[in-house]
Amino acid sequence: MNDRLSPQLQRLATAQDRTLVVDQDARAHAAEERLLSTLARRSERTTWRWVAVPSFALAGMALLFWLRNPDPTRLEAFVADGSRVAIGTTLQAPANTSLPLNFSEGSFVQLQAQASVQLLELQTRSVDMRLNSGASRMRITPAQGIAWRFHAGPFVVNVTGTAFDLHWRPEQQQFEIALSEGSVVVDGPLIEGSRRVSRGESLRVDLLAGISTFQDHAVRTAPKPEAPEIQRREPLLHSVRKSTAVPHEAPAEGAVPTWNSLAEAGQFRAALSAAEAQGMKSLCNTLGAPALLQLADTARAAEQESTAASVYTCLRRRFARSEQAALAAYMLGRIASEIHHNPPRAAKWFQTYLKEQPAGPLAETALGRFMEAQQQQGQFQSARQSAQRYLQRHPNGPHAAMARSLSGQAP
Amino acid sequence: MPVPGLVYQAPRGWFAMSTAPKSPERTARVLPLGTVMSDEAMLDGLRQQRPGAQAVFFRRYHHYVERLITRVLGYDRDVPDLVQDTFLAALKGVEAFRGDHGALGTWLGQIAIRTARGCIRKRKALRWLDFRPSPKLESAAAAIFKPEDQQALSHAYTALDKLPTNERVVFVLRAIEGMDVGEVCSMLNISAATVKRRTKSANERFTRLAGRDPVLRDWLDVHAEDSERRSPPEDNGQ
Repeated sequence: MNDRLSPQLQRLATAQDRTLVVDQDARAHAAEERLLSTLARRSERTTWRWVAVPSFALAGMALLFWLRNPDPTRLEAFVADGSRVAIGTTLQAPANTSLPLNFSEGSFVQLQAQASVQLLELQTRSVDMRLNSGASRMRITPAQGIAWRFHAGPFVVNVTGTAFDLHWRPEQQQFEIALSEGSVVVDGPLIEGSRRVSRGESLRVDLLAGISTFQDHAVRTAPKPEAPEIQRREPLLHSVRKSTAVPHEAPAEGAVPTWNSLAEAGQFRAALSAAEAQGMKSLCNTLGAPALLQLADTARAAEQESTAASVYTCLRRRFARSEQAALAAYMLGRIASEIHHNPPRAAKWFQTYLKEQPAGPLAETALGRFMEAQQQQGQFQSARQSAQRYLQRHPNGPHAAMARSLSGQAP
Repeated sequence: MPVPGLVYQAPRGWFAMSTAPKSPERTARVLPLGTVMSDEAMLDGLRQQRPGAQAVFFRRYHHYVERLITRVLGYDRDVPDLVQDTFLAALKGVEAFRGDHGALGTWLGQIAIRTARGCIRKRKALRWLDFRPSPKLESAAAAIFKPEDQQALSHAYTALDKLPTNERVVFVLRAIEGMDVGEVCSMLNISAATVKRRTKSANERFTRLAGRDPVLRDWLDVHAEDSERRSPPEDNGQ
């Protein structure tokens, strides 16, 4: 392959990827509807052929057809002893044990001890439940045309197929969601705009305290104070406080707040504006590595991924081989994966992090995301090798289920 | 009222936190992406023609198939139809699929490439009958492009149209999709020697064609002296 040409042809790929992202979901949905209606029409034609058979055989075949293909959209809910759960029923788990609720198409909801849930609606194409209080574990099997909704206080969860733990504590007005499979986008009180929560991550909202907290489970295993820069820098952990609280870093009256004081106060857009007023280029050339990382995270929190990526790149150039540079590589991988939907580039950055910090605090999740990016590119053999490596090192990690699936092991 | 099965297109981006507490009455939505069905369970469901498994199969691989076909054809009005044809062929032939669930993606990719290649061959045969103008990027996609990028993409695929189909497919998979030799061998069921031979031949032809096209020449920078003079482009993670 022509070495001069390869990077330029990669630009073609990147340009094409950007066109594919535009209206991707709408296009996919339209294509899915079209495909499924084509399949349904073909199925109807197959059914009609049997109608022409003489009466006895017709009756027998009709019965056989019904037995083998019961109404696929009829949904029913059962508790453990097989009793059906009627619409409107409220279920309360016992004080010391959980209570499973199973659905006929394979989904289940497991109420933890003392949790309470009400079945609001059970139609052919929709299921509505309310988590009155407590914790529950949901595993929803995707099925054509069935919309699931879980109400938890002021939050509504719309589900088509994923697995997560959902908590709602009405007395404390606390909401928490933790993803074990798939990913979701959260919209609600104290979350301006939208927030993506992916496998291995959790989001907690305390309405009374006015705090929302997002965490990547890998960050909880970050090293202890002997590496204070990294621990303090947890770039995926942010919290905000009520604006009425007086922040310790409140500027003196009349003073113009600095970009980092605004960022510490959670005013990310204002912080980024202040940084831009100061001159991003100048900041990129003069700030130390920890501050550069904070600036990049601020840009990311302000939904300016392009600016964030530029700052991460500057950090890597100025502080090559530092721990912050490796962290920047990881974040560039996440931008490539989740914002630009560019698996090849994402894989490259996650691999870079793994080379620079093979035992770093994000090594587990970087390997999991690297494996995922390989799968998205259709590099199934390579993904399988990565999956085996992942399972050797992190048999109980958040990506373990995916790794087992890729490597052909039982879940 | 949500359309059943529709996954909402939530605004993109990272979270943005508000310092002013919002009213707790405001309703939130948590929008899921992705599924929990394992590949193994999905393959079983496909063999039994279960609609749930078919939907998961489509959602899991739609982007992959669309991307592969677009790589081979370029921006093309027929891509949606070819994506449909690919999935219909796969769903029809899945009972005869003898691999395990790990090979499903490669198998589907093979069908996608075959479908795209068939389209190219049919067009070459009927080229004199096709009076349709070249497709243009939809305005939403065009809006995100610099004009020079749009032009370069169009000229690149015009050059690729001049390559023999087999060479074009190998070149696209290697040079643009970034597959290694082994992956291309699996995708096209050809030997490594054939992949290398076709890559080399396609590379030489494409370089010659690009050198004669002022738009491509500028964009791809094929002149040795130009590429040596310029400093490496800044990698900004995009």
